[in-house]
Amino acid sequence: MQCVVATSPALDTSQLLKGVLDIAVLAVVRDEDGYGYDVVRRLRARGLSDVGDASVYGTLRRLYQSGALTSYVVPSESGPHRKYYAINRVGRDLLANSAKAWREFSETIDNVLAADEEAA
Amino acid sequence: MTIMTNTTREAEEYLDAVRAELADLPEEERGELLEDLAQHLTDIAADESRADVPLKDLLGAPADYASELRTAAGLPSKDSRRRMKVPRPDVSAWLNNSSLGQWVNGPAGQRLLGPSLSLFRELRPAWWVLRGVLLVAVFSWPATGHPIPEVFGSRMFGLLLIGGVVALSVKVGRLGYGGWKRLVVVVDVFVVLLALTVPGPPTTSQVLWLDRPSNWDIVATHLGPVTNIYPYDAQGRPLDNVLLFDQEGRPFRVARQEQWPDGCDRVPTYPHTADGRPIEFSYPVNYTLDLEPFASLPEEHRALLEKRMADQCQQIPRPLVPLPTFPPEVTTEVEPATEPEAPPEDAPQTAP
Repeated sequence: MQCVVATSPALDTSQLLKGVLDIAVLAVVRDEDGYGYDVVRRLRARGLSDVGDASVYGTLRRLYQSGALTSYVVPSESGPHRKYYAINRVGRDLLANSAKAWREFSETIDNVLAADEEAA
Repeated sequence: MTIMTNTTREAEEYLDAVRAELADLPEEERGELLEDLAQHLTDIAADESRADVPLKDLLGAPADYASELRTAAGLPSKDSRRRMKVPRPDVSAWLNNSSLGQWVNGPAGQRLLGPSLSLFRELRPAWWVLRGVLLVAVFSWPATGHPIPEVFGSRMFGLLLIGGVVALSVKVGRLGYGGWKRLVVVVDVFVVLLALTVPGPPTTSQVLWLDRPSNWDIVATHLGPVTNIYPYDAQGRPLDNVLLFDQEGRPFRVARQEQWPDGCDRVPTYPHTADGRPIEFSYPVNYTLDLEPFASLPEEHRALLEKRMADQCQQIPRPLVPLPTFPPEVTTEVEPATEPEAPPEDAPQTAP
């Protein structure tokens, strides 16, 4: 499962993910508000199978405290109230800038790799 | 049902373990994080795809979960918090953790020491009172020879002073030392040490000042220097002007007493030899009021002062001594009871 990916000797994607988890979380709440576990499942559904639950909850909390997300509570029939997170203007701007930076970065890495392959 | 109960218990244990890992965080912060986790665990329990997997496999060990949560939430790690605190030596914790402290706090120690420890606690107010009294006495005693000082010339004020210091001492004790614990401990140790080292009470209320010639040995007992000798004859009659020598034929010499209970100054007066030299080993030594300071005054002033001094100063009586019963005299030329030797006017009175 996710452990297999995390312990892969080729590339530790869990380390990579730490740097860009903010973008991923902002992206999955951009279209629809979500609560913690909901966000975890959406990220996994989109392919981030090795994302840690605690990382997602921590990231949501940090983004909320930095003002990129707003929060509201909805009564839940299965237990305590659910805390929903919604993106706001600050969050959208942050997502736009971060996404741009990520694309440039990944493009650069792609170019590096392509040049390397051509040389080989 | 069983699975449900197990799951709930597992969730509670997990929650408790994470709570312990976050113990250093501010109360509000920790509360919100744990609230999120409680909801998280409920959601996992409701998720059928993950329901049967143990939480530790799903989320990692509680310590790892807490650490990951801190990193993602931008909170300081547990270790860095610990390092930020400057370690302070905690003496009482060290004592409690030592093997002696563990024994004292253990069941055996409590059984053995418990009663005396609680007695010690109950006796603390007594120490507060004693501390107040000692705090005054340790200064008063060496200076005046009396535990109650004379304030403005009166022992009543001295007692009031002691009362005030006792009240203060009790007040400090009841406050549990406040922020002055170290100072109070220092004062306690100081008072106890001083009280233990202050010399014991003088055997009489008179303080002795010795002026001791180097070529004469002064007679002394284990109670202190001897300042007078009162001889009696075989019939129990007090004797005057007795010359005393030791086994080598050296004259006895006693210490000179310079302070008296009534505060008057006295000087020893000795019988004189034919050529006018004082015989200083004649006993008992007669002390007469010191009139020397008045010698230069005009006659009428001197007479007045001398009279006032005589009124104020007491006669120094012979000490009461336990005389043995003597056999009746065989030859009774003189009746001792009816014709006692008349003592000089300023000589000590005869004890009955």
